[in-house]
Amino acid sequence: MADAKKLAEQLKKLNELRGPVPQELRDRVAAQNKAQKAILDALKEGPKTAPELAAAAGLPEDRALWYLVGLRKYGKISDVAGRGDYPKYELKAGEAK
Amino acid sequence: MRELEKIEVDTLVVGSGIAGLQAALDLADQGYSVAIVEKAPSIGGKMISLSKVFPTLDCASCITTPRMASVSHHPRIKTLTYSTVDAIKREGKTFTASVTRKPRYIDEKECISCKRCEEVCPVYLPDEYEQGLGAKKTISIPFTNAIPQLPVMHPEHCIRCGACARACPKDCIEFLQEPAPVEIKAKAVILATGYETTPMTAKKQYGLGKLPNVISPMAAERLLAPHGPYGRVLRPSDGMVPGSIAYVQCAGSRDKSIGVPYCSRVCCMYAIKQAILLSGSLPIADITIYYMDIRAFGKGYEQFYNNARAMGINFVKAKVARITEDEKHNPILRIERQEGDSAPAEVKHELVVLSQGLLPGCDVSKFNLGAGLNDFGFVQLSDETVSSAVTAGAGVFAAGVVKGPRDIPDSVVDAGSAAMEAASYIRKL
Amino acid sequence: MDEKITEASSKDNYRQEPKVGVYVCHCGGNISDIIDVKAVAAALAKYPGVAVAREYAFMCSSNGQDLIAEDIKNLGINRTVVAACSPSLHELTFRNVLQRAGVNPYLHEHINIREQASWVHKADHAGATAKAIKLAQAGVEKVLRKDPLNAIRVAAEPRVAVIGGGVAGMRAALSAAGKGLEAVIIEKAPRLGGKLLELGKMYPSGEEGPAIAGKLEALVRADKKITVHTGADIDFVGGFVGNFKINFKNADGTSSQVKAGAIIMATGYQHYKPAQGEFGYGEDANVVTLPEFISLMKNSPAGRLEYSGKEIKSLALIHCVGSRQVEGIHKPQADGKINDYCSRVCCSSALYAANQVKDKYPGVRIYDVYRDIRTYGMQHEEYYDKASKDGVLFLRHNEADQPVVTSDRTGHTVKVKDVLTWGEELEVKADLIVLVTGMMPADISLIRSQMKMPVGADRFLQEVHLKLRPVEMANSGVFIAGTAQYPMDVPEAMAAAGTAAAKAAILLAEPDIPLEPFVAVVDEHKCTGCGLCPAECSYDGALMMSEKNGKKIAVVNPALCKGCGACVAVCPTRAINVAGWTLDQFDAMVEAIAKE
Repeated sequence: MADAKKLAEQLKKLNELRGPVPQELRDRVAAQNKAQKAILDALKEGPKTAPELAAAAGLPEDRALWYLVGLRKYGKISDVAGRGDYPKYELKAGEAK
Repeated sequence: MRELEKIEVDTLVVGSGIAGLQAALDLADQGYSVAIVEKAPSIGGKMISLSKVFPTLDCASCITTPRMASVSHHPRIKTLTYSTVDAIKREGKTFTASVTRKPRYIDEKECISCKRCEEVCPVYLPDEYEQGLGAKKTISIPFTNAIPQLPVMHPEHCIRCGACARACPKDCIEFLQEPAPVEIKAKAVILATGYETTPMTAKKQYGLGKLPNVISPMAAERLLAPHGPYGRVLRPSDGMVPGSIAYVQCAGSRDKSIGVPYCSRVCCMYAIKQAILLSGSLPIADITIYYMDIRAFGKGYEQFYNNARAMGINFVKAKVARITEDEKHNPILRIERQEGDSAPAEVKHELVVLSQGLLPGCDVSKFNLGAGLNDFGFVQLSDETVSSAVTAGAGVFAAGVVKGPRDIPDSVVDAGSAAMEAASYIRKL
Repeated sequence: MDEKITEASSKDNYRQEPKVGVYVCHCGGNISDIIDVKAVAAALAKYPGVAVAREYAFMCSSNGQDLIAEDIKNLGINRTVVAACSPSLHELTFRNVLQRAGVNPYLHEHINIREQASWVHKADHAGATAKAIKLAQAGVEKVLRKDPLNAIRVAAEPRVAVIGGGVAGMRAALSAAGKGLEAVIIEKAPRLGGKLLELGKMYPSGEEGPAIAGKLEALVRADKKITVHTGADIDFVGGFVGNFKINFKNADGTSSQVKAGAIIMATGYQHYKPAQGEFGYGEDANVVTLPEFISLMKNSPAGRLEYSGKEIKSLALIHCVGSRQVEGIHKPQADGKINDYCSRVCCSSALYAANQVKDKYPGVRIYDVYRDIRTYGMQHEEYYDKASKDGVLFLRHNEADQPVVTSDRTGHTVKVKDVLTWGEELEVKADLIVLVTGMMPADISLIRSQMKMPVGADRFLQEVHLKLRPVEMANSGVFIAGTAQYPMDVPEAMAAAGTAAAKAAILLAEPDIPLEPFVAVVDEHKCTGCGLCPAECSYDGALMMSEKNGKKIAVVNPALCKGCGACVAVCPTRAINVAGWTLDQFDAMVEAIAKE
């Protein structure tokens, strides 16, 4: 585990070397967090498809799909088995809250 | 810059795709020492990201990972990943390569590949290994089968929250890590720098890569791969299971307008293979291949093509003049059939794969090794009717697609002969 | 050289209490899409003798291999069962893992739950899973009864025999000699050069066939490590890896023998010979094959393309003669087979020849009748472009609508249902019909039958695996170079030959080479000396009756035994077993599978 003081020093030095974290990146991460939260909130109602989640979260469908892929890869959501043109996604057990 | 690391070997192999790996193994198994330099964070090249491979339909991983493991365990092979060859100098009979190990921003010796840094990192990025269809984190291990299993941090996407460093049980995050110079001395060089595909943006008529459901064959490989981004075949615009899929052949080859007049040799077969795999995972989907000539010329290829036809895949002799899309992002192909009804027609599909061609992966002329290039930037051999690997540069050999498009079986065979030429050159020094 | 057999040492893991590790591979989705791999691992974890059972996406990957190595280190696993793909793919991969981790590599059992379960029971997931569990349990029973084995080491002749002195054979010999090995070329024709000696100008270099062969021959003649026997008629090929023997008659009637550690088969191809009457061939003198046409062009006077003294003003090339044949459309050959493969080189050769005609005799009209143009090589597309530009007229037909050639007093007519003009039946008149014939393997039936060499459905020599072991044959120590394997052009044959030499050099890098230890072993106490077994043995000298301590018993020569098991089957006292495949192991496996 990193020593808190050493880490703080490293990050400070990093800011000196590279300047502050760019605003564009901050905005992007904020938008990502908002989108992911909206998707996870919508999924609390039950399994949904990518277009349904896009509508619920106010996102373009391809972006909603991309966020779903990330959440799926990192274990927050999973596929619902079944047929149909649009597969559904659901919260993974333990991720409901 | 970190301290200069010096390596001395018999042969330097540039590139660790299937040709580079095979050439290295065939040399090392004869007793020669080898250093492989790979620009990507993992060895394995393009092949490791493929789904299954024609004509045997083995999973690409089943063929590639054992070779990757053999290389990484081989006592006579040294592998440098995430490293670039900046220059190669020839002094007498020795080549000296200046190599830079790019910083991964972790202590490579201490890391135990536990992935905790990746789990806690809050920033998601498009994953280039998944052709942008999937997501990764700002610090992440490149892919499941990567060798080495070391994460790479992308500082330009780091918000410096320190979560990774706090999660790391070995304290190996190094935010301030610098590139490390390496000097490799070798008696011979094997160029195995492979290919890139012709860009999606190459053809205005095909949407310049802006139509979300017109995808590259590499993206299609990921859709079909066992651990692909979606875990199943979906189209990127809205996550729908496509019911109608089309392949546009020669979408980056046999086309003077984009500077690629040659045949890329692999596209017919990868399209047929993907079509077969698609019809396996989407049994009711309608799959069409628009083509000029089907070039199934290798061992077992014609039978493979015949199997695809017997499976109900539609082969249509037609030129695709233009691709547009409707409001639901369904691609619309304007085709001119070469048989049957000749009137131009518009056909709607739900997903389209552009069968891109192959371009050189690296401009090897920058190394000034005396190996000539042909008009298209591929390495030209001294006399290909005498040897398949000897270039005009003494001690410089070429393996695989660096000499021009070839498929996996041809590249594997080719690599062995490059190793043999290098071995006999070194012996005679 | 006398055969020296030495035993390699290895750790005595078997003396320890057996601790079996079972590893179930997903093979991407190849297995796990059908078989419940977690259920297989769970069932095996409870099986007697099993210390640990795991499942993983790709056992053969570095991560997968590390799982096994760590279990060996941390849990003391000393026998492994991997339930995965076919052993022909990766049994060796896992033996190497055991070896690296300090366990005898033969204390491993590779169970095939892909070809034998998931791929063949796609519709029955539960059944496939149950079968995979049974197969893995049988594997555990077998591995529990395994003894550590050591590779049999045999001194090898440091020499490569290259059968065939065409360009591939010459290249293979040059590459092997370049590495310092002795190479012996055995060629049946009086000269080196093979088929190239008969050919004119060739793509891609534009040199004539004999000139290309000549360049390699000069290098071969200058290399002191290479011996050449031409006019050599092989009458026997035998022996085994490291110690092959090839007997042949020389042109002067004397006999010679070559001993070699490895054999490279560079036996080449023959042109497809059209059947009597195929497109008029053999009946109409003006129907010739492409190789015949290339020679004809070579001998034609400048300014006038001539055949049998008459000027040729038009010709029609018909592609895929003897290639891409379709059952029901093409007549089978004498052996009942058709050539359903593409001969790879003929499209480029044909267009290259057409371009030469247009260059030398611009007035000659050329029709090109084809199904697909396969000019796949780097510069080959240019041949197609040039031909189109120079006015070669292309007519394209579907496989079901074969062109028809007819002749009468007015000349020769090719009738084609041309898809390029939307299925119109076209008739073109031509003075000469050129059949673009494909390649077939040369007749090497004697060597093939003596060595029991496998061939594919296309009758070319069969490699072990197109991507993993592309120039190796199932016959250990035998490699393939060039068109003996499949049609290829000269540069492609150069690559294949270089690689065949590389594999031979790797094999012969050490003075002695390891052989699989799966050979017959006789239990002297059980052997009654009945003498039934030698009669069953198909390998000369592998199994003989001998006196030992005043008792007549069967004795095995492990270097010659192939482990076929024919002797095992006839032994009335179960005194013979094949190491690694004993009757006790089979009994236990059958019992495990049959158990309710």
